Amino acid sequence: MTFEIFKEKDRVLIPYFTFGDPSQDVTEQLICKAFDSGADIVELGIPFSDPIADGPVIQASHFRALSLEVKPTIQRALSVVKRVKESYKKPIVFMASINLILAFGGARFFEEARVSRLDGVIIPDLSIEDVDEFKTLSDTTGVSLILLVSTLCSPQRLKKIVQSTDGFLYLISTTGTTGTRSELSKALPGFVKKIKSIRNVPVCIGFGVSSPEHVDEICRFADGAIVGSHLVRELEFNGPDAVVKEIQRFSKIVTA
Amino acid sequence: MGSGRFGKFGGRYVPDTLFSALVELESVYKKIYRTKPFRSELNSLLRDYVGRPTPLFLAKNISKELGIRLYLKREDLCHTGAHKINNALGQVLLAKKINKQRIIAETGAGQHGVATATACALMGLQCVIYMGEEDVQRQSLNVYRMKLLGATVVPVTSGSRTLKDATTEAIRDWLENVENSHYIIGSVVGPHPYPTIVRDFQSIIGIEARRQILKLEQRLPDYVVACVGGGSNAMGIFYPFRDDMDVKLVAVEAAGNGVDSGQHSAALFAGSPGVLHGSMSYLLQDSDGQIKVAHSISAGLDYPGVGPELSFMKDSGRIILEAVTDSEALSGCHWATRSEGILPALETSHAFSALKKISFSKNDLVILNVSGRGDKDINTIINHDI
Repeated sequence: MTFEIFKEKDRVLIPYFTFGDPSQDVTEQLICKAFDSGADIVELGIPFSDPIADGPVIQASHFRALSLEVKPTIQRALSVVKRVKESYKKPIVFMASINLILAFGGARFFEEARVSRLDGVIIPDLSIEDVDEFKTLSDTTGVSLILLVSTLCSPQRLKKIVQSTDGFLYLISTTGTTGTRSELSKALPGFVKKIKSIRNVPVCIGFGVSSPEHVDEICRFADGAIVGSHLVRELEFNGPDAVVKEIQRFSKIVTA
Repeated sequence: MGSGRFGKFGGRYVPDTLFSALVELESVYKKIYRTKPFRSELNSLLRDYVGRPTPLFLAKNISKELGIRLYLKREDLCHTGAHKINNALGQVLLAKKINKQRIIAETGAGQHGVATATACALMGLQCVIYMGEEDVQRQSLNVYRMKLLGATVVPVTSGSRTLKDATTEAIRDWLENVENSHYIIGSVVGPHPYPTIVRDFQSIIGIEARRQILKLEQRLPDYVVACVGGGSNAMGIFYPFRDDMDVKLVAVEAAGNGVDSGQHSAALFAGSPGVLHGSMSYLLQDSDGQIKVAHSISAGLDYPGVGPELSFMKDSGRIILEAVTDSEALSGCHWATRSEGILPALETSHAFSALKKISFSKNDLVILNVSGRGDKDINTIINHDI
């Protein structure tokens, strides 16, 4: 059980970093420091040239990473995961657009992810209708396929998604792309209840989580909070040390 | 409409947030597309507002020069100057049926933007157009037209600042505002059901052309030729001929500075299968799956992907591919204008230029889809004047 953390803790903190922003070395250090500072799981975004699910802040970080000479490939990201996992047991998951996985090769991806001890992958533009092939690969390799769902999902599809997700379920907090927001959707607590009535799967909420107050609010009704754009922006303007401080600030909320 | 797959191509690769909207769009579309009230409202607009049917014109001078019988399907005579209005009007009518008051669209050359802004002005809907900053500059006339029509034009500064990035931005706007907005994609690309909807609305081109040629020549053509960016004018004219297996369908892509230069937009000719903007199709991409920046002198063809149905038709061997460079397209533009007194868009000029590459037999009967007129390209043509 890779995601045992959800049994050990009621409130799980998941920071997001874009792989290779501002450099692959800094990303590697940030993952370690995030774990040291109270992060429970790290989500690593693999930069894509046309990320439709991401807001302007994360999109800009993808472009920064892609503009570097050393390209932020899946292969390089897996090498980083492999090194970090030698010292840390905590889970690391990828967020990668479907085209990157297809170009790498689906079977090859899951096999190499297993070897590198990557714990899971989120493919934001892969819908439940198309998961079968990847689900089989996930089951064979033990690399979790973590599915995304939004509050706009129909009851029939929701049921399938909740039953198929592995590790946890990623709930999109608002309609829209990733990005910081001042208020969270009022529909969330009721929606989490609906999910739990289908299956008792851990639910983590992302897209728009930007303050310790958000994390606190989310963890009252869900199992974890994913903090993305807020940290990416912090990294852009104030550097890695500021990001670590933010994670420490957020982690107080989840350990309280 | 089924799964929205054409072989392995097509599909619906979008975040869950958009799924319900796509399902709703598909079901509303299926329900009303063939109904009498919808057809008659759309048909009367196409007749009285757009000016359909557009003529099928025998281009005697080029015919004589090439030893063929060349007919031009005059989509350049449509209201707003290109075939894009066929789809824009259909989709705005559709948006009204699903009570969306705000319309989002992307545009490359500006023709789809102008067409959408026009349809929105007519129907009284709010209109936001995303356009790459580079295209904003090279198509300044169309930008001003859209503003005159009351649309908000948002210049897109990310990535290559062209159609690809404008499409990405438009989809992201839709993700944010899906509950009150309808996204009108301008080509036969994007997640299901868009490739099918746009193809259906554009099929009027081929339906008319087929009827017209049978009346004029008492037989089907040997060739139908169209330029391909995303592929809307091509699918529009090809689709009604798809089962006429003796009719050769020629898709002409933009070879930019040459297919070997790496600076082109020939996704069918030189791309590989992948997922961009919600569907699987041939794409220009690197070995990591990053989408390459397309290049073409014509903003409307400057797109690294192509429609899923065209991708399928390539694999099934139903279409013949040609690729035409920037400079060949410019010559084609001059040639068509001087020969027939018709100034074609630079997009369409690629199709004209391809006529010189196809090995016709004597007296072959050919239809070329004149997808749009070239007034919008005058600045580019002046800048490249020899």
